[in-house]
Amino acid sequence: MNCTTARRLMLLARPGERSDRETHDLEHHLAECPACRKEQSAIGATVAGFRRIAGAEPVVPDRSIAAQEVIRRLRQSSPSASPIADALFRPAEAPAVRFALIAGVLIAATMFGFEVSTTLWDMHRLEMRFADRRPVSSAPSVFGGNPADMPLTAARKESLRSLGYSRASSERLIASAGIDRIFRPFLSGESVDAAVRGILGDTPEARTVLQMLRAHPAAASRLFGKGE
Amino acid sequence: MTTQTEQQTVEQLAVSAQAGDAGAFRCLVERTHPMAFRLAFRLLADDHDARDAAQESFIRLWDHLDRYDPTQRFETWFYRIVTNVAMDRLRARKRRWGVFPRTDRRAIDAADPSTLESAGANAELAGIIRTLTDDLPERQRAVIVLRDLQDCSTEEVAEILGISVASVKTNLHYARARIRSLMQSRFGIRKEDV
Ligand SMILES: [Zn+2]
Repeated sequence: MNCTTARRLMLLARPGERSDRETHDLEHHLAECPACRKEQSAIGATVAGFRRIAGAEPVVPDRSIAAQEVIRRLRQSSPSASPIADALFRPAEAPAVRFALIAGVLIAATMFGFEVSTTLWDMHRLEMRFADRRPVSSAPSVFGGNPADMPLTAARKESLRSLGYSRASSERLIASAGIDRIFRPFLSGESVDAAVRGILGDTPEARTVLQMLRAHPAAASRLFGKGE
Repeated sequence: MTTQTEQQTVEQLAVSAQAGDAGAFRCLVERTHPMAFRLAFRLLADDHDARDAAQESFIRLWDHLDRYDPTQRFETWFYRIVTNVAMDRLRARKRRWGVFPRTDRRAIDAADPSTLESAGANAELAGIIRTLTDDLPERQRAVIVLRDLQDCSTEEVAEILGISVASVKTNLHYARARIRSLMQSRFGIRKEDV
């Protein structure tokens, strides 16, 4: 081994970073080369000195206060009024919001021309399940029929209100922006999977919604603002 | 925090958080905050900046969680985020006021006694790190902190900084040489000892 190789190996001071063979060759070289021996001990002393002087443990802030602060900032940075963003951190209160999201996804889906008939039955079951909370739709016009001539039913407005929009603003939103815009800000920056599972958890409902979104990537991408 | 999440590895917590489990995410933050702060502190040599950088790292973590590959060691992956956040801050700080912040800025935190306490306790250490790493080029500074203070392996440092192993070694070599001479000149450590 020459001095250049020996000095390169010296930088790998930790066990496991050199092969047995390299360690052996290095030791052999060091035994014969006073200049490299000197360099080796200088590196060791520098690292040890640096760690002694600068490597003390800093006083670390309280981790649970720090975690609270992170969550607070996350709420603030995602559209904070969003019940969905909120639900991410308060799963216990999520059911109404969950249903609103599913309803929203489906309303949006039908607006984009999804063929949702295969999932209608699932949706119906879902509605039944959450019926005691907020019957978003009892009218087939929400989930069925030709999306192009779907009227702004009371049920659709109601579903938006359940998402936290006032009557006036939900009407304005439906009229001007289209429903995809309404959901996008809630979910931007997240993968579709993470977003949907974040709201619904690992449930049959989540799988149904995801299945549907996967089957219609273009609409999913419009809905979530992401190509997936 | 439930016993179940307490027993999970950080990788498992990250996977649950990816699936939208808010409890797992919170637990992940609590579990990894000390190491995020420690790394940020050593890179930035400032208590206040390190707190902010750690916070920002978790915001970025949340935003990029879907990119985490669970076969990867979580800490290495997250170190990369923390390092990027800290280095961004370092650059911004240099642009603003030279390398280190004005001390009077800390008055902002006076309302929170715990902040003052740790800032006080960490002030001396921050000063030492500053003296030794202050005028190192950015990459050398990151390499020597990760490798010699954070105990990362050469491969890990390369992965965290997105540079080659050879580049890690070169940077390490120059950084150590510089620090060696600073320890002699600024801390009066005899030449024979380092
Ligand atoms: Zn030699």
